[in-house]
Amino acid sequence: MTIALERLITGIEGLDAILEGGLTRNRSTLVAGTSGSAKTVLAVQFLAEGITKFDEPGVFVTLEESPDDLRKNMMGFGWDIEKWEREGKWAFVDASPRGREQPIIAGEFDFGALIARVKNAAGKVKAKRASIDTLAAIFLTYKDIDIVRRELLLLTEALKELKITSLITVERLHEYGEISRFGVEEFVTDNVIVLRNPMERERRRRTIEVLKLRGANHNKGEFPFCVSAGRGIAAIPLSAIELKQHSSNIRVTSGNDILDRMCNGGVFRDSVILVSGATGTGKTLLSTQFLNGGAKKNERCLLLAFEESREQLFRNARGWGVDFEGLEKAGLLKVICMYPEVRGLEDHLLAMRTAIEEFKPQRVAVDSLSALERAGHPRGFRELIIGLTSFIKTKEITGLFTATTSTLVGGASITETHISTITDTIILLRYVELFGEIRRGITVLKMRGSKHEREIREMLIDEHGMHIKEPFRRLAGVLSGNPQVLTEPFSPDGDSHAEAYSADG
Amino acid sequence: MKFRLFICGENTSSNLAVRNARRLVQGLNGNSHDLEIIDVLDSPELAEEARILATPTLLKEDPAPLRMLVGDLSDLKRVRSILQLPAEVEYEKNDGGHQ
Repeated sequence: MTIALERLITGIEGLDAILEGGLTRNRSTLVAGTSGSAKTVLAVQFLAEGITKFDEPGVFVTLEESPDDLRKNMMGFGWDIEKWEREGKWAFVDASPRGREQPIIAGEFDFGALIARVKNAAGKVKAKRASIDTLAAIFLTYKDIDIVRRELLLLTEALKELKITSLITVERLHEYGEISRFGVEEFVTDNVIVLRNPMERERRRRTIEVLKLRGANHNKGEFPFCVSAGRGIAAIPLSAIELKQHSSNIRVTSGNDILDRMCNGGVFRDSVILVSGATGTGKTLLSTQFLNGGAKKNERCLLLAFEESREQLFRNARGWGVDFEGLEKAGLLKVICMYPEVRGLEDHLLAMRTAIEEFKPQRVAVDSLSALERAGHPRGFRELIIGLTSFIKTKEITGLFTATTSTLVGGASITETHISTITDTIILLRYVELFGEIRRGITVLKMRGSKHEREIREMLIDEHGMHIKEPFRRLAGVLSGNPQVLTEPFSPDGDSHAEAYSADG
Repeated sequence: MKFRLFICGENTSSNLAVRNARRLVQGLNGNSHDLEIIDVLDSPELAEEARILATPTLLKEDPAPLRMLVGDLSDLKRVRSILQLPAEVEYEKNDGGHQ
């Protein structure tokens, strides 16, 4: 019979989902990472979340930075260590080497003093958590690796006895390969977490991986995370959230009556709609109408724009008879323009989430995702979409994302192939060449959990916005952009001998 | 001269360090030296204050510069040379603990 190990919820966003419920209680976890991989932030945040969310005091053993530097540097994350010290919730064990010359080794030694100090500090604040940051310094100073290893083992045992769950950070030289620089630290702890910060396409992409969680289940593989001011580390546990997605049967308007009919009565509230089309097919128009439709029903609407400036967007809307200024004044609309290239995808995701959390909209449009795709690596892009989609769904928000196809007629966008399985509804906007003219077509390609119209309809755009007309009849190959006119009704089983004439023939 | 020796409870390396430190100080007879022995198990606050990690640790605090020696001080000759102390004329060989 196996007994499930008791867990300690770290409170660090996303990490507990990756750990499938938190760290194993009263055990030590090694956190390995190259320099600049946010080890210290994680170590501090572990205690900070414990204090603020669970009233679990902590001991911070600093072997590198001075307590003063930490107090100052961590204020940027909103962690007021000094205040917690005054309240008796945080205790430093200062083992930083500042202003002190290196000790000279003259004979046998142990870390009795360090352990005594940790115990003393833990007793003072009644600690439930401890962070030790970082072991590299101790190995460099006390060169005898066997002694250091033996003493670390004693330290982790002391922590276990004190019923303290701890993180111990250690430096590694490379992103992949041996876990830690001195190759012994991982043997003294039950669990190992690796933080990585590799370059991908000229950008840093931070990931967190739980390598080992002795005696307990956890999600495997690397998960992206970002570090931001006022928040610290937030991991994005993709596979963990995907499972939790729920959807309601409540339908809301797409902003266009006929499109609602094509979707069998509107789109689902907690769903994400992907609108794909070439430039000029009406994606921005569709998202404008989507927002306008929501605002008319007194829903708060957020537009995250990555391609056009605020002025352009407002002018466009005016041109289609939608009053963005008025909606903004009424507090029903917020337009945020961001430049895709200015930051990495993880930071974009965080910025979008923050915008959503602040404005608390009922619907969100992102125009366009393809612009974001240029800002990072394909894998990172997919993760961004998953992260954003699941976030939107848990907040009961209706989302509409646009994606630009690279070719003018027909074709699928790269964006589409990446994310079509994640989105619930896909609407295609396509140019159609018909009788020597370029027309526009619209169709609902997929709608999860609902019937929808399968026909391709013609769409007109004028100063009142978009107008969806009758389906293209007696045409085949509309989506290819170069349809053929059928003389007889098209038979879907394919053995029809209907003659086809080229439309432009 | 002022020395402080941090030890951790009663154990071989603590005892050895205490004996060696005493011998070191005795060898400096005639100077106004002082040796303070601190057990970190009794006074962790003092270890905290002095930022001591390892035991035994011998601190030479006066005169400057501060020197920090970690270990049981079994090689007294080396210890003297690190601390730049005058060599003991009648150097008594460390016999492993008998006084």
